[in-house]
Amino acid sequence: MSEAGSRRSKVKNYGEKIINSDKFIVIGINLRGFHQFLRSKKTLGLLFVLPAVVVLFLVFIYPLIYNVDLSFNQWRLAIGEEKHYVGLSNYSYNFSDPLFQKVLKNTLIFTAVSVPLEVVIGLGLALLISRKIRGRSIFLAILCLPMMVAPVIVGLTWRWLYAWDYGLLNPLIGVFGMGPTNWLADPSIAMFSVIVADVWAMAPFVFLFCYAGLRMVPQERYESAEIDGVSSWQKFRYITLPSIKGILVIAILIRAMDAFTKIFDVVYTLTGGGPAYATEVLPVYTYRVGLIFFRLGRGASIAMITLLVTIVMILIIRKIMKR
Amino acid sequence: MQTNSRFRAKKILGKILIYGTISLALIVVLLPLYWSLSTSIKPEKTILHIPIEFFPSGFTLSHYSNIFNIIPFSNYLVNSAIITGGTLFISLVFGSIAAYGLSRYKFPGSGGLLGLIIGARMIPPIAFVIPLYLMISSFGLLDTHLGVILTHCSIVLPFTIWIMKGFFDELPRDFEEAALVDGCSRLGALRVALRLALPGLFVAGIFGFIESWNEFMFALTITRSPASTTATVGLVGLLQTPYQIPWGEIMAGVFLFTLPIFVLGYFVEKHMARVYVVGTVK
Repeated sequence: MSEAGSRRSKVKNYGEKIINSDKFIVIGINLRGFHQFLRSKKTLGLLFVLPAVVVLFLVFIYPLIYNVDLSFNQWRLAIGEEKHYVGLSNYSYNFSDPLFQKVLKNTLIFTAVSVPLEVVIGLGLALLISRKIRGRSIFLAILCLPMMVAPVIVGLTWRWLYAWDYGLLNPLIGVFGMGPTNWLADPSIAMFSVIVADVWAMAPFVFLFCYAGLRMVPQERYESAEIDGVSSWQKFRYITLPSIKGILVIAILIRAMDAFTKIFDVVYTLTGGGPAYATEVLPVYTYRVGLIFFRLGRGASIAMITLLVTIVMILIIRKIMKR
Repeated sequence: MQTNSRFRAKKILGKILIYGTISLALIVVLLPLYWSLSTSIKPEKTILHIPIEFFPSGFTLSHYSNIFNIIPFSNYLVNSAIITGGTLFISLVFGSIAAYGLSRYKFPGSGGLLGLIIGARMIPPIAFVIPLYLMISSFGLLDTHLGVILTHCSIVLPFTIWIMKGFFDELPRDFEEAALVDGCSRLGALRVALRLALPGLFVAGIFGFIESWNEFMFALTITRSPASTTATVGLVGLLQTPYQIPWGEIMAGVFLFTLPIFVLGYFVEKHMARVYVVGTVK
């Protein structure tokens, strides 16, 4: 009490010292009031965040709002059309468009296959690495390399691996007696190839996530289980899995959300959405409609659908994390 | 005795299985990187060669000089550096001050702002790239560094605020309070806090660097000519080469481009779990 009181009086003294100092009196306005206003915690906090908020409003918030407006308009820039209001017709067009349905299906397949693969690989490796093994830090450093490689570079690298004639992959599977495959040009295989490249890049993310989660599991639980003679499967099933269930669910949800809404660079460089739209996913299609065909309104309406999916996922993630 | 040796055999088998699986994972991770690197130093004849040469029989650095001739790659690298630098400057200066404000003061809307920043990390760029393109275009900033910098701020600024807020939250307030009592102004206290959070600023800077340097979609949207084209857009542009894609040059460019990221990533490797895990979850 007395300590807090003395500190408060010190701070108050300091305030008065500034108010009474010469340079404030020289300016000659009602400094006491202005100073009180500046010194109030609310104002100061606002002043600190103001520059960042201005930038964020300019490059993030306003574009999001503008996008809502765009999605209710038709505006085909390529033919020099003026922006005009068309209500919900962009949305209704999307849902009746077979190509959009195909894109939606592609994106769902991509998400539904790549995320479980990443989780199985990431969790499996995390379980292995968190055992008592030698050279863990080197393993960790190498396993995390793909996370630093730009998604565009992932696409370029894998495109070269997949090259039909001079790439590495066809000779490699040839060793196992399989014939050369047209990885990126065969419509029935291209999506699989895109998924493999994405798993290569993104499984380390899940791995790191799980590894961090595993390190938070108290070791005593395992020790007491070992005294009871519990098998390793039982240890995994009854100690490890319940302990990291929370973080695992979050990892899956975040990955699923990103896979559905952020997969652009890898597809753009690997296949460009082809062949015959076999790997066209939602973000690539949005970009194509909006910024290559310049159908701004329709592109914005597809972006809105992506945004709504994101918001729903964010709400689910928040709800799970609150528990 | 027998059970003991069986137990040991089982243990050894387990060890082989563990190290075997990890080795396989390491090979899968490293093979694509090796294939790219070896391509970049192979003579042209051995790149386009059947059967492929897994171990290069010749060695050349010609692709590394060629990449600067077939495209203005030095321009692209400089553009990437300017854009990354500008993005970092805006994000670190505004972001760290905002993070300090959010960490130390409660004000109307601070909760909402925090939610917005977390949301900004999750909302995909594709959701607002079309209106952002129109805005940059109406500012007359298409094909300029500033245009790309602004778009990159939409990704890096929220990221910086989030990382820095974490650092400020863990920083004890005693020092700032001592500074205040000693007659420092509030801005002086901020300076004290910033100096203490310098390691955080460093980490945020490196992660921001990686995000901006690696970014592709916004750069593709805004840039038009060598005046602003970034290295990512320039390298992808090589895929449009008629007849034969110059893979040796592309891979040389890939490694020149990725090297700074690997060097910087080395410094923040131990923070990666924290930033990517806690940073996205909390």
